[in-house]
Amino acid sequence: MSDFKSQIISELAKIQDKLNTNKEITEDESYLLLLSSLIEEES
Amino acid sequence: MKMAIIQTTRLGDVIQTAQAARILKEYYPHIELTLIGRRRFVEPLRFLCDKIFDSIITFETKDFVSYEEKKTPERSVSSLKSFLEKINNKNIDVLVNLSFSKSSSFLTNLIKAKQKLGMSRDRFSKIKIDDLWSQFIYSNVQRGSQNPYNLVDLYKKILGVSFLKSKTNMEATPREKLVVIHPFASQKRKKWGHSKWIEVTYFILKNFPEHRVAIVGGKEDREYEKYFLESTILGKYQDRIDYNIANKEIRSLYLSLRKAQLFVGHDSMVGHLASEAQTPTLTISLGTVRPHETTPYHSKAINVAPRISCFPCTPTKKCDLLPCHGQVSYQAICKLIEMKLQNIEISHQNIQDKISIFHLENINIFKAYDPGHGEQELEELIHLTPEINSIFKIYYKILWSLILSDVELSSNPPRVSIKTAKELEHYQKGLTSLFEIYRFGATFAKQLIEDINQGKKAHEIKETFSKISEIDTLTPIVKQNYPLLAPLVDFYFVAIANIREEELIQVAESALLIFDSAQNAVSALFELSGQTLEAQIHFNDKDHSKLLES
Repeated sequence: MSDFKSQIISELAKIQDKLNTNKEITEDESYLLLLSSLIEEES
Repeated sequence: MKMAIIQTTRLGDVIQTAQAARILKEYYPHIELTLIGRRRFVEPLRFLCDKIFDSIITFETKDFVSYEEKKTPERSVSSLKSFLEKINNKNIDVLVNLSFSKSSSFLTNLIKAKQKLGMSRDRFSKIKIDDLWSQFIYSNVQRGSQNPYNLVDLYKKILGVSFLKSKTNMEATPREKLVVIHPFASQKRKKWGHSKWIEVTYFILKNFPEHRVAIVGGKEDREYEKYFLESTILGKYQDRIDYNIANKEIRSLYLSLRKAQLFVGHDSMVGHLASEAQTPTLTISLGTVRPHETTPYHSKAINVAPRISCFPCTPTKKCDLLPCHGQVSYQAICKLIEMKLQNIEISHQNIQDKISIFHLENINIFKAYDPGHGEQELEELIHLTPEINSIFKIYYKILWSLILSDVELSSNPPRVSIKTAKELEHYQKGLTSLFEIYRFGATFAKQLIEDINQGKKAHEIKETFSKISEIDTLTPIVKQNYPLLAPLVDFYFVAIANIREEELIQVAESALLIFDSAQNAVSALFELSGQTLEAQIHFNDKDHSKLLES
């Protein structure tokens, strides 16, 4: 579980720069954001 | 037309969504309606939802994330894509997100639809709310104490069926001598200690020897069941108590409520289910609960709330002593139950006659009613001269209806005490300051439009642009000094944040429109408070004349 979470966190870190600098998010990245928010709301 | 509603939050929210969706379906039966929600919250309510929605799509996070299978994020994303494909194959015309949670906003972003209402995300993944009523929910619900609307009415407004009533006339069922009690809530601050509930249960069983009490709760409430089972004073009445705790079958709870004469409990899903069963409800609102937002949506609802300045609080505010709990006495609740079971109308006069003033001083008793326009209103039954909080709630109901729905609601100026009149005068100063701030915003938005039209370069208009940004530093000061103006400030903050135009000229034009609307809103509040103050002078003159005559 922690391995999965750490993979998600690492993927999110890649998007973070884009989020901070107002860069467009791709569809795949949007899916990842949905996934992480679902996991976040479960915990 | 195909419409889908996203409601991914809890059981109570699903019931409230169903109540609003039912009205939409009754008036627009040709709309093909889909509900998208979490399986654990929708499946137990299929008996209710299946009658309203044409199709239901459910999911759980574990559908996409299976730790046992050691899924990678890529495989999880792929599962999510398959799920979304299933939804997108429906070719939805209108998508409405009623959840306001982070995940629901990403979900809304990824579902294809011609029109989207509610919280979504833009291409930069920033929160995006296009419709005004959803902006209102985002800026006002579960914040402060000034939202005058029941959540079901807000959902109705988003769905475009405000001011319409349900046509469903549920067949009246014979009621048994049964009181259903739900003495639990999702948070400690929202529920009384068990000893008060034991007193209430004891009162019913002792004074109404033919009645039974059903104590209901979820599996998380199991640990509290023992307090009732082991209670000495309840000892000889145990054979008249039914324990229905941790029963997953919500339909059986609904059927039990359909037989009951009365439901008593805190703000929870069970109260909303009782309203579906058309069972009279008596709700005790504590902690973060806002009676105007969450009172069960029917005309047989009574809501008791503490009369203390910190109520209602917010979930983030730390509170160990829970002073609001002490404000509501079990004696007052017992008397209200007695009145309900004896079919005595819960009215101002009857309350004064039946309940000691000592138990009434620190509470408000609200009675739900429909003033004729299809929205739930709460009438305050004890303290007939409204305080500043209640006055502003009246103003806001008039104001939001005018600004967001273009509907003019009429209301006579409420009569206020001298203390409240002074507070209103104080608030008029706050309104004057707020008007100046929004006028400042409008002036610089106009300036910006002129500058752009004159072809000025980016560095030349930078200063004007920064002036508009100053609004965000000035309005919080007003909010701090005049907390009852927060709903207005927060709403227009969210409105400005939701400007999505591509070109700077369009941004400036949208900002100008919003600042104009904000000025109008502030003026309207000023006028309403002015009318109340004028009426107060008139009443005082009349009282003075009467005194002289006598």
